[in-house]
Amino acid sequence: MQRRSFLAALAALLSFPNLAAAAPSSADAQKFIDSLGEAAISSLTGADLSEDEREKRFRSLLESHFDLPGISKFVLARYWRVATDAERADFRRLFENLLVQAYAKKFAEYAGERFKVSGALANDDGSVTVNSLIDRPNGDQIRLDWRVEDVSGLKISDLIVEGVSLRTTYRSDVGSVIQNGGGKVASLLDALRQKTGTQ
Amino acid sequence: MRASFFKLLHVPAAALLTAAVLLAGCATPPKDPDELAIYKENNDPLEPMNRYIFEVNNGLDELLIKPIASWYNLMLPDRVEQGVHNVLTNLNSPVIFANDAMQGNGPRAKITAERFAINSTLGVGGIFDVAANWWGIKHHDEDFGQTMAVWGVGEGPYLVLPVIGPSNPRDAVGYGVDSVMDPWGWVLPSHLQWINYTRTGIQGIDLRARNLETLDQIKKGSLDFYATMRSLYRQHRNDEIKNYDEKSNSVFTPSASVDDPSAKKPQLSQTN
Repeated sequence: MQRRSFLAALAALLSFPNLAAAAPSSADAQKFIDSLGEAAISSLTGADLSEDEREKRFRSLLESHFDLPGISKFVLARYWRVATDAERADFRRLFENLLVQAYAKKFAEYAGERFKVSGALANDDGSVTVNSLIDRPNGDQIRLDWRVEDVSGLKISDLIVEGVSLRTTYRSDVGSVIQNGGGKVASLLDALRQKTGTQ
Repeated sequence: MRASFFKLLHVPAAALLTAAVLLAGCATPPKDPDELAIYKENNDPLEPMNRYIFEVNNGLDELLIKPIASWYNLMLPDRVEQGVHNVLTNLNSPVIFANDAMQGNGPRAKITAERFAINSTLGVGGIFDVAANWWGIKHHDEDFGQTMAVWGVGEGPYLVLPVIGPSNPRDAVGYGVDSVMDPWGWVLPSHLQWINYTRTGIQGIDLRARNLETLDQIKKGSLDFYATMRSLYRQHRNDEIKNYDEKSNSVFTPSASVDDPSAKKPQLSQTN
């Protein structure tokens, strides 16, 4: 209890410039990530799950725990401004489909890896970076950091694997597709439709 | 006499050829301010040439390297693969140690020296990572590209090297320096140099075999594989340069700033 209030005070102190904004406490952010880890392992890793069911559950965890609107905006970056409302909505939907298709299957290969939350750090901008470590069966340890923000409830705004940020990588990827498509957001949507086989 | 004349001629000829390739491979900067901002952020003026080499590398990978790595993964038991990996890592220790030292990082140099001493003896020539398993002294990597970064050398534009893959001028030079610095090359007499070449080959297969699933996953999740790899390479290198220390959750080097403005802040996701 004492430790928790100390962390909360520390988080408040570190996020001083944003004191007015609703900054999540480091302790709450850690608990949030812990509970997501439990939920993901218990609901997604079953070997007898059908692929459709796994994707459905993955999608619902993604929607409930990730700040998908914020991530979409970050990923589209400067093209967010020029995109029409319809294009923004299309992008959000298709981008979510891509994430589901690319990552849900990972949980089928789950081999008992444990992930433990190892700490949290309040950032200047009011977000909290929660650090976690995953032990691989071959003895390797993977660093996985979660950027947690309070967007009407705690949400994950980025995943950082060994220093590689998911949303930054997608911003480069998506930016390059649009650039090669003559600066048109429509070209990105086409590429996403083709990649995911969804509309 | 004649041979030396041709040798002399080689240098300007090679320089001219390089210049021609570079010019032909250059992208023209766009005029639109938004596009120009991306162009600068990508820092990839040789993109057309880089994309070409990237494609050739991918073709080579699909045809040769990936099948060999998959075969290697299938045929050998995991424990044997781990042993091979440990031996290769141990052989790399002198280069890592030299770079730890050149970065002025005494504690990490000590770790590398201890690991080499323990694993070469108790670990039977490096087959077993006794240092990590018994004493918790864990491996870390270091190379001359990172050393130069710590010294304040910028990465320069993105570069895809034939066979080796994503790089930049700093890391490419670093790779060359590390090869020259590697003492096993000096120790072996010339008629036994093939041992060192074999080691390099096995190193490549080991690296590819350990990343089979990761690369497949990246391909599956990306739209433009080239742009994704470019971003991943940069972010990963910046992370390596920072020498994250997992025990204290802190950045370990005295000069964490390097050329990455985000290194000063706890945010890890600001640069490309």
